[in-house]
Amino acid sequence: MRNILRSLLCIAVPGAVVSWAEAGEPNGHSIVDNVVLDLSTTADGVTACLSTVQGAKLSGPYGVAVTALSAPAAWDEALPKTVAVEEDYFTLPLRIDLKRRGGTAEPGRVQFEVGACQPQGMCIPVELAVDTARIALASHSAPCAG
Amino acid sequence: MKANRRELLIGFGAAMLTGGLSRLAEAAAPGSWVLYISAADCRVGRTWEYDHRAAFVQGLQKNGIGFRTVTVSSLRDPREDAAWPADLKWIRDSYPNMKGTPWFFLISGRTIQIAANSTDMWRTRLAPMAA
Repeated sequence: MRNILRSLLCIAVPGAVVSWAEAGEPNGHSIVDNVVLDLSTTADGVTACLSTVQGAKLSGPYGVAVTALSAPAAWDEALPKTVAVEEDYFTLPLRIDLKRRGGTAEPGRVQFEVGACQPQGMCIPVELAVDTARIALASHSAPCAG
Repeated sequence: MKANRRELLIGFGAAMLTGGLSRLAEAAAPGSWVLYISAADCRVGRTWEYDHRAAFVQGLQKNGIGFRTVTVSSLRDPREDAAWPADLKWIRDSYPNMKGTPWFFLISGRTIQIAANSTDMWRTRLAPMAA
């Protein structure tokens, strides 16, 4: 019986870790439809680092739309805002800095929307949302060194 | 008279080919046409247009298959109402969860025979019709 329970635990724990890592946002890390978002805190706000896996690309003309899903007044710029380039695709990793309004540390939910062009030959809109409260204790190092 | 293994394989291959072609012919009945949905900000679609569109349309015409295009403003909304001509909206309405671009449809009468939402699917399912 103990062996069976141990086996079940061995199956369940890695499964839980995988689903937590893929769908969740531990320390501001999310992966959706081959788009990877890493959000980390900086002295005056947050830094988002967008990259991809599996050969996906981010459409330049589609851009990256940044939206404050809550507490929009906490940011030192008008949101939503869209960053776009004329080139077919963004050069990755793509770093976006968001400054907080003077001294504010109010947590909020921020969404990044991109046009993700998949290796199968299609481009789809992808939304990644992160709760900034979750990254309060995350690494302060810049995540976009690539 | 004994058929050897090679002859059997050739026969099997021929039967598969004949079956495949007849299925394609059935799918692309006279009066069929292909609808292509693209978006101004979809570089995958733009690349397909540059690399394959002319030859594909020419091949379709040769086989009596038409070709139409709907271009939406952004891949964000391939169902953009203003971009769809009234006579094609029934196709859009058949796919309420249409997401991203490009899309390819093979239409016969008022029936969608094939729907493909990537250039990979186009290559395997629609490109043979222009061969």
